[in-house]
Amino acid sequence: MKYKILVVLPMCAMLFASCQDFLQENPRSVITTGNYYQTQEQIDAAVYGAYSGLDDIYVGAYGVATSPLFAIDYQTGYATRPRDAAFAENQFLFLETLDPANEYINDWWTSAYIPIENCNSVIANLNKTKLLEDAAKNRLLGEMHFLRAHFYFQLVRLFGEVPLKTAPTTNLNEVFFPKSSQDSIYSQIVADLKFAETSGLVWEDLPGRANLGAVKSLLAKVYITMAGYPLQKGTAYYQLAYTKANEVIDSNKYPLFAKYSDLRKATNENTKEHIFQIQRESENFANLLHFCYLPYPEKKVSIQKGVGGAMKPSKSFYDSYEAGDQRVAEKNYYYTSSVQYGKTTVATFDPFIYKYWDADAEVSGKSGANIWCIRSADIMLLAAEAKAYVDGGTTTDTKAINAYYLVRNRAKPNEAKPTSITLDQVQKERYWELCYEFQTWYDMIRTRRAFDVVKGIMVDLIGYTAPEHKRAFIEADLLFPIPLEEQQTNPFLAVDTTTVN
Amino acid sequence: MAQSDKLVTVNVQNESLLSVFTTIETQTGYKFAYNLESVNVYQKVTVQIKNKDLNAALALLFKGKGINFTIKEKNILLAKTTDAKDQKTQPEISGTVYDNEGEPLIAATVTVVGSNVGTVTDVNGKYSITADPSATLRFSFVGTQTQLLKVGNKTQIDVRLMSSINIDEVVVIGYGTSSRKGLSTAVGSIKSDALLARPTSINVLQGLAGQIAGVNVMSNSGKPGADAAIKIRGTSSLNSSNDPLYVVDGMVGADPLTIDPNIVESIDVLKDAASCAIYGARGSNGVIIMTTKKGKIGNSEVQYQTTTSIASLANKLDLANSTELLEVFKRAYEYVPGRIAPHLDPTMTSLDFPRKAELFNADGTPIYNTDWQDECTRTAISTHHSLSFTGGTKDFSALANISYKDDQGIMLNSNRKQLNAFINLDWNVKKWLNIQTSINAGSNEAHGVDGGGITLTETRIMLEALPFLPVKYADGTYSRKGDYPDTEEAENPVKMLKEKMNTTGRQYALGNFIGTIKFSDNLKLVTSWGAQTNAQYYFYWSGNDIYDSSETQKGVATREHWNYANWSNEDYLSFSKKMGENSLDLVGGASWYYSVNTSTTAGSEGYFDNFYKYYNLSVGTVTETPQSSFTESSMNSYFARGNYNYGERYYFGASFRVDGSSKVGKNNKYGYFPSFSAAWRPSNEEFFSGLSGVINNLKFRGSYGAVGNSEIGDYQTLDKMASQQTVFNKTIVTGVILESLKNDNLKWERSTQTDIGLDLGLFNSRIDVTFDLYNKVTTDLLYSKKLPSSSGYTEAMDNIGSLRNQGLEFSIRTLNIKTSNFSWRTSYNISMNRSKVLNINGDTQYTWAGIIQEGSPLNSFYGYVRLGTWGTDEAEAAAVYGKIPGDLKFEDRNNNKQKDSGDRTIIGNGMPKFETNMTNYLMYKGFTFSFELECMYGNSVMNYTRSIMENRVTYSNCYKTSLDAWTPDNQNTMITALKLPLDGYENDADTRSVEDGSFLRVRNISLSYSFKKEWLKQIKINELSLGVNAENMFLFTKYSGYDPEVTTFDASFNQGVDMYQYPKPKTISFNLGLKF
Repeated sequence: MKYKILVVLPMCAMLFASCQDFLQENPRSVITTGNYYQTQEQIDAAVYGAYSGLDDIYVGAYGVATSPLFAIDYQTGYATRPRDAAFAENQFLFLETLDPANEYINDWWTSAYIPIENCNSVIANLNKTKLLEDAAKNRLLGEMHFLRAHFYFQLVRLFGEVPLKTAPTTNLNEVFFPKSSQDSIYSQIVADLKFAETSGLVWEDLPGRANLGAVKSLLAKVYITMAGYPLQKGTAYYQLAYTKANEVIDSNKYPLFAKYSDLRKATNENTKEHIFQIQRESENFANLLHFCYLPYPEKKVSIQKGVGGAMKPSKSFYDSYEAGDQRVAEKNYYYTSSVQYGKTTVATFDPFIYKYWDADAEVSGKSGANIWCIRSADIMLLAAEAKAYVDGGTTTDTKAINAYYLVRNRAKPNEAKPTSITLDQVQKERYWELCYEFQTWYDMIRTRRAFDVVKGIMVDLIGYTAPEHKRAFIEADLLFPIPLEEQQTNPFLAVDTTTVN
Repeated sequence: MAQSDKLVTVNVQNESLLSVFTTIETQTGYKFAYNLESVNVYQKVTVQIKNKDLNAALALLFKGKGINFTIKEKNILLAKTTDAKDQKTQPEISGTVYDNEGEPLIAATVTVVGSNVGTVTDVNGKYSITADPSATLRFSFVGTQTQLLKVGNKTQIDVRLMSSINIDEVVVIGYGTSSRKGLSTAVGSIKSDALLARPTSINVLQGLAGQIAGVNVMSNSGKPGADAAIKIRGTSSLNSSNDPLYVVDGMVGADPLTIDPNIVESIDVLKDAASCAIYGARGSNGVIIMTTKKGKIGNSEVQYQTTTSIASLANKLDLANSTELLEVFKRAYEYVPGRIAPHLDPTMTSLDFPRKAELFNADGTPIYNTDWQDECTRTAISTHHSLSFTGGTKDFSALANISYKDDQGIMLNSNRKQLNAFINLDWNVKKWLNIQTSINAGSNEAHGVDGGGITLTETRIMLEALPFLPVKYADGTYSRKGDYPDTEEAENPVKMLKEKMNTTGRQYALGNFIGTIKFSDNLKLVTSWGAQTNAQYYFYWSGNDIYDSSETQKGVATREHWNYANWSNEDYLSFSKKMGENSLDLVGGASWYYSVNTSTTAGSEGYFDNFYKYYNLSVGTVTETPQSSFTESSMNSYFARGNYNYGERYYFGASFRVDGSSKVGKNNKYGYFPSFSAAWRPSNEEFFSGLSGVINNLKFRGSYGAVGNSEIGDYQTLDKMASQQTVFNKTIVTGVILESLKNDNLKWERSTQTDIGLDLGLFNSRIDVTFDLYNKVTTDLLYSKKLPSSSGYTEAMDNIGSLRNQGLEFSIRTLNIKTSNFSWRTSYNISMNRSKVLNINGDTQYTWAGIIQEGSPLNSFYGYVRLGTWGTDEAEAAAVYGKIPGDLKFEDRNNNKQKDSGDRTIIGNGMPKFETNMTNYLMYKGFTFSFELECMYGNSVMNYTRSIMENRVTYSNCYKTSLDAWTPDNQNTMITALKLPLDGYENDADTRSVEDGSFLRVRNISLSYSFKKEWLKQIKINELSLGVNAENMFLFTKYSGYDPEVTTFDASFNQGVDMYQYPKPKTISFNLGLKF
């Protein structure tokens, strides 16, 4: 019987195991924040991670040719959706009162705040690290500040007063932040960009990373926005915008391409006119624009069928171009016919957007073309517009006219350079040039003006009924409501809360 | 009294009476007969007997021990000494005790209730005892129901003790067993024969369906080997697991899908908190305990069973045929005046409509009328074989089983095959040491079709394909939906079924070792070690010419492998002691559990040839990003339980478990889970004796306890960073982004449950009733709380909120008729569960077609209220909403003159108001006929299949009901005017999509015949039976889809969402069973 002990002991060996260690979690396929920022390579990876947030709004798709991205061009009223639309899209397409529950509004909100948190975290950790020389550290900090400014600029323009948060969240119990005034948000954006401007960034940097041109261009866009609505800081800021835009133009690093087709050439990516692009690659980081903008009902003009119809220009907008405008010439910005894929038959259709046609995608079925984010034509017209505002509506400033004419001349090669330009002229040019690049809506709300495409004149935005809308704009249309989910989760953002400065 | 000529010699010091009996039996050849309740055979004795005759020896042995003995033939009958004084004054009562077959019962105990007087029956079942006319006699015998009878003025009392059908069965309760009559908790049980009653059950979950009240098993797909969804007393967690805990032969955390029903002896389902609390940590969804078959002592036996079944589509959807669909097309095109459907449009050139001449006659009538449901399905023939070997001696027994199943699905090319081997050994190594060890191993592989869902799967296109297209054209090419202009392009379903490959499989092994060391008759130590490994895979191949899947990629092949393995160790001491009317059982121990999961995925695209499929990924020119993962988790627990009963009348139980889990926050690793239960059996009280002929068992039960749940996935409390690739100038680099906020305080989810129950046996348990009421509240929900995304995070796991499930369960088993040749048994159960979300931080969560919000039940469907269609006289009112007559009309619930999210409301619930099952067995001589009915009432089904097809006519085929669409002459309809999708359509979930899913199903009808044993003996066969089964033969429902017991998505929150689910078969099977 005493041998029992020999059997009992080994059987119950576990009784003597240490319990606390046994329950410890030691993940091996994911890393935790506490173990991070130990090497330069880890810092680089965190920086790359912050950049990865840039495409959030460009890749979110819910179904066939459906993405929250299109919402801000639907909202202009100059675009329509030939494919069937859901309730969430119809609200933008027809200018219905936006429902805070509309999920696209939440997407625009979240696609800024999640990347901002990464920026905040990298900035906080870069400030602490001793792994890098100051110069290298500053440049990375400059890039992060540029990105943070980009995201806040998106938020403040679309939503107005929003929470301003520049430090990372570390505690589950400290997750509610009150709204800040638009003034203080713009101040932070300007501060971030000014920091980036002096952080040691150079004009030409690694493609896709923040370079000096991108920083200054964004700052110019911020200034002209601050000058207009809603802050209405006026002439001083138009002047700042004009100066900053000229710094970009005068650098001669970002000349326009000679032809519109050059804009979408694979070999021209990240060069010249493309001051800043969101990086894509065909296998793993697809660009959805080529396929989403295919003609619909399907004409099969590219290899993938059954995906097009996300957006097409309003017919009256298409017709608003002046005679001889090269942008409206077949297969520059638009097309109305194409050879069907793999066939010799030609399909014809109403005008569709050709801006983002990807010749590689047409045959491979995968588009890796970069997404246009900031291009020189925008900055040139911005310089001209800012100066026209400064000069009271008409300017004879040579630099402004030159900038305007660079863009105008490509569209209308036979037109002579004017001796003076009006605000209306420049603003109309911006519509024609920058249409369907997710820029027009921002122009409309900062200027509170719209392009009456039927009459061919600039008019007040409030009271104007855009071609695809069911009614005229009212003031309440100019800001997206705070998303319902955010109202429900953040007590500070529930309706009727006060703003802190 | 016969005199024995054998002499007895005994010389023992402080050994049990039992061991002395063994000595005397060996020396004399006489056998002792006694009742354990009246004779304490474990008492220690010291006695010296030398060469005495039996009578003298026994007299010496029992001197002063209060035991009377009687020698009858070769039996020594023992009883308590009766009080000599009483004998003189009280009359003698005598009689015979019989069993339920009418055979005399030897050694049944007869006692006078409330005294020490008692005796046992002799070899003829006869007894005599003295008792007052006012006294009550208690008759009892192991395995029968105790009877109480008043003496009155009778002097002869004969009694028939019925063997207990129910109340004395052994129930496995975790770390031990109990008799059913001793339970104070809610436990449901089924045995092997019931589990195997439906031959097409591939896994134990399917076998469990409908068998136990409160255990909801939904067979949501007709795919061979499809997992059934199981809920025990409702869904109790939102973000943690809702699966019950599975225990196989004491091994906690076994995978039920690897257990072949053929090897299971019994299943016990622990439903209330008090029974689950011994598995506290993971008991909040109930515990399913499986006990595998063991070898039988005695002659070795071989058993063979085989089933061949023939399955076909149970019912077809009522879809439009060619002529009807073309009428729909014609009207949809003519919605815009002047627009002509392509097949009627003479201007359509062969460039626009190349196949027109092949499909239509000159007058526009169709040439083909294809029934795609027929084309995509088949009559499927499946076979199962099971071969068992069993045998054993007193100290060693073994059982081995090997089974093979080849199940063919009713969709073309879908099938599942499984090979399983099992061995179970039981060995008394020493008197004090028993070991039991089992190994279960096997593999299975299923070639399926893509399940349902919104993508253009085989099951979807089978319904949506256009009937006027042929499967193949005369030139041998497959048709495609897009061959008719402006429909939605999709691949031919027959081609997909034949050429795409979706393969899932697994190889598994489960080993278990249990050692039991008996320190004494009261105390033993049990130690068990278990391990299992599961290698699972999913392989996918879609060839270089399959439209929409892989045509542009020129072929896609993927191989995913997962491996999960775990080991566990449980050690516990168990102590049990009876002292007179007191009986006590104690268990205490500890357990350790460790699990590891890994996965690897690789894939490639770009195949020059379809030969390679997924067998050679290196052939593809484009490599998909490979993926892998690794997670591990561990648990450590301590537990104790005590059960006490007094006189089998008053029962008390309590348990306590401490659980530690790696998955919860580091500040709250351990959770504490107590439970209490009590029961009272008035039927064993003296005052009840007059009723015992009617009510033979009555027990009131009550229990209360807390159980936990921490199945939230690994590393949920850590501040993780996720890797995120990004690209600069076409060069891919790896970055990291923030993924989650840490929560060191995250703790166990906790369910507390109160259960009140009643067990009732009538007429010697010819009627057995069990009734339970429960209230189960889950608090500290492991909840993925929504955060404002301005914080940088959209959600974090936290202990927030509570859910409630309340319900009642009733089951009854009756023996309606019992004669020597014929018997009829019925078992019936009904259960109801009502869930309610009490608190989820004010959040709203949307599921497929549903909503989770405070104050509402789970599985609520959410959407618009469709009022009908706008009439021609309502044009003005319609215009307010931007609508015209013929458009759909919805209730404007928030009255803001537009259709928006505020108009949505709860429009149904996917779980039944009640569900009920009834099985009848009729036996006549060797024939057994049974039929099983399944009924659910009050459940809704969100029929996305119909609503998508109805709302997007001309993209696809539609139900015949689409012909009832709005026209100026047919305005009273729920269906919008026929128009093209580009004319606008509304496809939101609404009341039209929600259908009543109540149903009555004849789940199983079976007829079998067992040949007479006398005949079989001549050919040396022990048993031979033949049978035929018909499953799912009749379904009565208003539901317009294939089957209202359905979901395409996760059943925890999306029960009843039908989106092109794999249809269900009806099956006829033929069975043969043989034992020799």
